[in-house]
Amino acid sequence: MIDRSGMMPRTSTSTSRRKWLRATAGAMAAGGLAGPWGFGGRRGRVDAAEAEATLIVRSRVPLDLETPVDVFDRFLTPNDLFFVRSHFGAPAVQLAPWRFEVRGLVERPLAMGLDELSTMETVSAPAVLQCTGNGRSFYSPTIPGVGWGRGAVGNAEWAGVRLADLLRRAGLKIAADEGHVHLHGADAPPSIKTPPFLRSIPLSRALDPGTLVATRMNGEPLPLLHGGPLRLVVPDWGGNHWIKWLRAIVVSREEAPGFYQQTGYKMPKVLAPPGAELKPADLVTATTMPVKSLIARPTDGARLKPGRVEIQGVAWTGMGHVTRVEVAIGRDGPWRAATLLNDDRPGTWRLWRCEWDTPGPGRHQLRARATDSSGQTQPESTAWNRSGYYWNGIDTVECEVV
Amino acid sequence: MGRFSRFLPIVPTSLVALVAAFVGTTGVPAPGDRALDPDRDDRLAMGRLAFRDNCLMCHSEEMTTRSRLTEKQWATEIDKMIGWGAPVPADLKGPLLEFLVSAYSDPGSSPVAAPERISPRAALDLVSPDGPLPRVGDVAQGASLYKAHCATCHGPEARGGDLGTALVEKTVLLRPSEYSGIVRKGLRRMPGFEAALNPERESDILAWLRTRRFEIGMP
Repeated sequence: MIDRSGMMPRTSTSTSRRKWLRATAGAMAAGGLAGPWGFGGRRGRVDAAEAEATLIVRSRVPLDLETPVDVFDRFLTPNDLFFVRSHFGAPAVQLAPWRFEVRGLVERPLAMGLDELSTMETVSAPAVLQCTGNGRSFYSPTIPGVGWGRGAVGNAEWAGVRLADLLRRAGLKIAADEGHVHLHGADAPPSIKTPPFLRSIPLSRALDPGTLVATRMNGEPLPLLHGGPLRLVVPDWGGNHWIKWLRAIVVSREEAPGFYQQTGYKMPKVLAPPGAELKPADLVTATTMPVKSLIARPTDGARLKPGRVEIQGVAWTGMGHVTRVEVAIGRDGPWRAATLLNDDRPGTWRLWRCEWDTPGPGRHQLRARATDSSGQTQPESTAWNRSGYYWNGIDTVECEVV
Repeated sequence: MGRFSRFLPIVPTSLVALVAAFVGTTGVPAPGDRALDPDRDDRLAMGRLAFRDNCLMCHSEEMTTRSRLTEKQWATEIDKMIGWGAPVPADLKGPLLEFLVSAYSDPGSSPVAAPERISPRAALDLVSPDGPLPRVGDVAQGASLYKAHCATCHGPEARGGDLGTALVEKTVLLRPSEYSGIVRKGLRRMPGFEAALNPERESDILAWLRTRRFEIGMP
């Protein structure tokens, strides 16, 4: 075995360790930390044309890529520019034909390939997929985790088989309020000590006609990076439920065991400032998305010509529907109603726009907030929670009239 | 050692911290004058290498280098990661924490740069085949070669072991060029095997690995 790993001697004395460090430091400084996962893209400034066609890198391994928010100037987010997220990285789906199972408390366990799945009735609907950690970087004090900004969200037309139809085909042995459905996907951990990304949803939610085992996204076969060939679609709920690379559904009386269901993705029931000690009874699973809006244009830092500017964006909620979007200019400016554009439809978002006659040259802050039918309005800052979930503070954009 | 000078945060030192630096503690030594703490640069260097060798096994650097956390938060993260399989040796935990705190705590003294961008094509390329399989390997041969050379670190079922990551259904198995580069030359704590394996044996092991599947419900 040739040792080119540069591994530090384990049993040396502190003197020889120090000598080894001096010898290695030069090579390290030259190579930096970048290995095969080092910077392959361009550092520094990106010109506007290129910027529009690229995603923001939050992590390369696993791939966590964020959508630039100006892409939200249209109803459907293109597959290529849809945000990418997983816990452990895409599996090598090409190694074998995909198999999918329905097991557990069912009369007739199912095991099928994609061909058989395609013989079942397919439905489609647009739905907003948002990473539950979207906006984490806005929380203060800083919270560990992927530092998403505004763009870990998107809206796509999802097509697939209703999970309810699969469960009916398998024949449930328990009633809707008696259990849960475990969601096994191929987002596989790097170590046997790392908990697998295993989640469950209540059986009642699994039987909702909107919950789909999706095979298509925006009219195309579900792309690999978005969970292809199969993923779960759970409209109104955060992305932690939209399990990718779906392998098996297991009906059970209990929630899924393990870290990602029992410990992760919990929100406090009551206000929990930094440092608060929380008991399990104080926490609930993060499911339904709160109301939120984003300004797609102008973009942050935009330089605008004086005159009439169209401010546009998107708004959505997991709780009912968006009833109002308002825009304000400046920190203390009055809130004015924006026009909601497309038809209201549960699970998906609404485009909105409003017109702004710019005052003279200078810097301006644009603000947008949405209200939903459950009575929720976006706050200035979302109440702090220790995992940094579900940020829905009022969106702000700085621009300059030149 | 000028190259590490930017790692020294500018904080006022208390008398207690000065004493601790003299006496030596098992906790993170207080930052201070290099004259009082001549080993600090070496500890930071060891910590940096510990990060490279034990953290970058499983994830790329951005998750760490783009964070700005307190010492307590970094200590919690280190313990969580060790619990999840990061093979940080016990005597490097201290230097690792010291390195992370010195480099990735204070956004004032080390602001986070603008993030990288990537095209959709380049993103997909990272997990796609990087060339044809040079030959069809012998699965049975691969099984025994894996057991002899790889299982110690990567586990008997290639689902990960003490020093090696899980390989089952990982995209590196679709990338014969990347795979053989790693097998021959090594990567961080993994040594290179070009003396022990030839291209034929490498492809036998790859063929066996490509047959592995993880079972539903297994961790």
